[in-house]
Amino acid sequence: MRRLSVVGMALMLIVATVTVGCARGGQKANVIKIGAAISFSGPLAREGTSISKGYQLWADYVNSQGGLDVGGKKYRVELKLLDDKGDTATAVKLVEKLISDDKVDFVFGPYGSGMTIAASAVNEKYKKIMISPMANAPEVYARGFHYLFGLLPPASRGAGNHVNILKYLEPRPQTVAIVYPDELWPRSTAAGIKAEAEKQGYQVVYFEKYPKGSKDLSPIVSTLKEKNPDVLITTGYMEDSILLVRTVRELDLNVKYIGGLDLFLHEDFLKSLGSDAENLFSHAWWDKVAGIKSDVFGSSAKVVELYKQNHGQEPDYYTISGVATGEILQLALAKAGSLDAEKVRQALLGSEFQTSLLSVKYDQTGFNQVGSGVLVQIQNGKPVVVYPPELQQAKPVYPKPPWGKK
Amino acid sequence: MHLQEIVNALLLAGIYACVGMGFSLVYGVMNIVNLAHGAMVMLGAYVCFWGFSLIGLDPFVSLLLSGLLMFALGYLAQKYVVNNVIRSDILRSLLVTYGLEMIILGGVLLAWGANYRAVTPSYFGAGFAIGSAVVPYLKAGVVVMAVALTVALYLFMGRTQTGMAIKAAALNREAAELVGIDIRHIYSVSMGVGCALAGMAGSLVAASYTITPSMEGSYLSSAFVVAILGGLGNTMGAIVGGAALALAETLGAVYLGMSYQKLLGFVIFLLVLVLRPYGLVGRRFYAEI
Repeated sequence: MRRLSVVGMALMLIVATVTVGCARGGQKANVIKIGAAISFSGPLAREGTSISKGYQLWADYVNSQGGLDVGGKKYRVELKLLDDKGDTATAVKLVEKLISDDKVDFVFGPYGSGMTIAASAVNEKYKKIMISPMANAPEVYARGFHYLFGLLPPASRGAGNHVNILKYLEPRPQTVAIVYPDELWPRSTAAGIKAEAEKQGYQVVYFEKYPKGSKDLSPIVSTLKEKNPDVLITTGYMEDSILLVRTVRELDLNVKYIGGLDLFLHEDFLKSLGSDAENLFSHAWWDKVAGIKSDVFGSSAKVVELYKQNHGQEPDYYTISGVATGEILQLALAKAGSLDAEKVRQALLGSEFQTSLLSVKYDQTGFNQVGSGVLVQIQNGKPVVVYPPELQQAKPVYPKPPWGKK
Repeated sequence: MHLQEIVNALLLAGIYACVGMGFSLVYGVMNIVNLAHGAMVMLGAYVCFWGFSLIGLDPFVSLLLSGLLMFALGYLAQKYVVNNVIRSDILRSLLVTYGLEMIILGGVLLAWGANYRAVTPSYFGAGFAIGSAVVPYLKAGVVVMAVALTVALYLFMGRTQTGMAIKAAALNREAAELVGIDIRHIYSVSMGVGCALAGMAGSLVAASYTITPSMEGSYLSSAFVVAILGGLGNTMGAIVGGAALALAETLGAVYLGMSYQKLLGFVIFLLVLVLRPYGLVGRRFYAEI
């Protein structure tokens, strides 16, 4: 019993707290402490772990180059990453702890808008800058916060591509259905798509939410069969999106266009669905073949290569966004020449950065205002860019062939 | 008429029944709320996944393997850990099974990461039609399996010496010991059978849904509801409880909207707790243990 609890405690500690210190004994270097609450367990563990690998890759790279350059002095980066378990209240507590106990200088965000909207309030209280890798629901930036900066542009800028492409398709689709889990980011993004679709003259025949973490989406799909839309767009997370497509397949609902957001291109998503992922459309902020430059690494390809050296596989888009979060801080610090939050804030507001994910230019609310990404379709098992027309690698396959007939 | 919805509900009922059956047995016999039950379902799902992706084992075959492995795990956990606290108050066993759950969850995260995985047998997506409703073969198989497991458990409890000893131990622990039943062994077997059922449910779940370490939470809560609805320790109860929960969730989603999917299930759960604490088909005897 005693032994069991010791093992249990040890395991819990390992899982709950992944602390990465890089202070090497002996040399007395300047150190910048950066903290983040991110999911290593819980429903967002996959996404969170990927992002944390990006944070780590960036920090290791910076340290291997001798540290961050701030006002002529070199600073080593020390990362402190804590497990928020995908729970908003935990994320808030951990950010409070990171700032008040661990005395971190800067904070990187958790995954997602819901947790960020809550956790960033702590940063605001202590006047510490938070850079968020993922949060891009408008609500997050609409509060007049001074110390929160995001990497991604508004979700609807990217998701709107699903509506923009429709006018290029033959026969032109008329009806659109949108489904989403009942959470801040998916809800606000879905509302953005709906508004855009109505503006462009499409009929939104079904707009429905389902509870986050729902294990059965057949009621949604049964209703969809009755509505029989041309286009189905979801703003769901990984787990429920896989379930949605599988349920659509099982109940043999044949829509002509199925579109989702970036996670549709994720390895886990494609592997889980196998050949059923064929001809699905996905938005992508980042495309590894697009030849994106980076002010820090030279190019996005360099980041991919570094990751492959360490992990033996390709990084996903979450990891790249973690790297880019670090890049933003690095570039802002170099420009500010100071660790002072106010000066770094001014440096962030006034400039344009090229990260290995996308370019960043802030408005006064700390929301990135450039970039809209591309639309990708899975064709013969490979993602190819189908929109915008000037970047098109292949013509979109439309209408999607019925299930089982390819 | 919502034929498709009713078919959907029946298919979901199969999954719920499998998940709830083992939980109900353990709770009914030993008065242990096995908080690791969801984790056992998750492990069963991973057994199914690895069996399928490494050697192409069909989910309906790998459920035997999940069952055996989880039986062993449950038996050992009960014999060496849970049996030590079973005579003290329920809080202890709650803590111990919660600890087990944390260890399994942490172990799976460390070993295999938080990746989302799925099992896609060749017949996935194929199905037959009843009128206008589509019935996927896979889910129909799950329902058949749920019924088969219920019957098997019923026969095991009623017709075998071990099964009757489990019942005896549930009815009156001291009296059972007096007639020569080895209580510690019988408890370990009960936990083993409960976990084996969880593991088999996991294999069936894996065939239909996404596999991830965090899946265990939601299956634990459905197991709880199914067990209470059906009546604790009642072998036929789980299938009735599963059907009741699945119907409530599906019809709730259709008539009230998806946001109320869970609500109706829990309302019925509360009503049953208040009005029929021994379950829809349970007899008083089981709940009073």
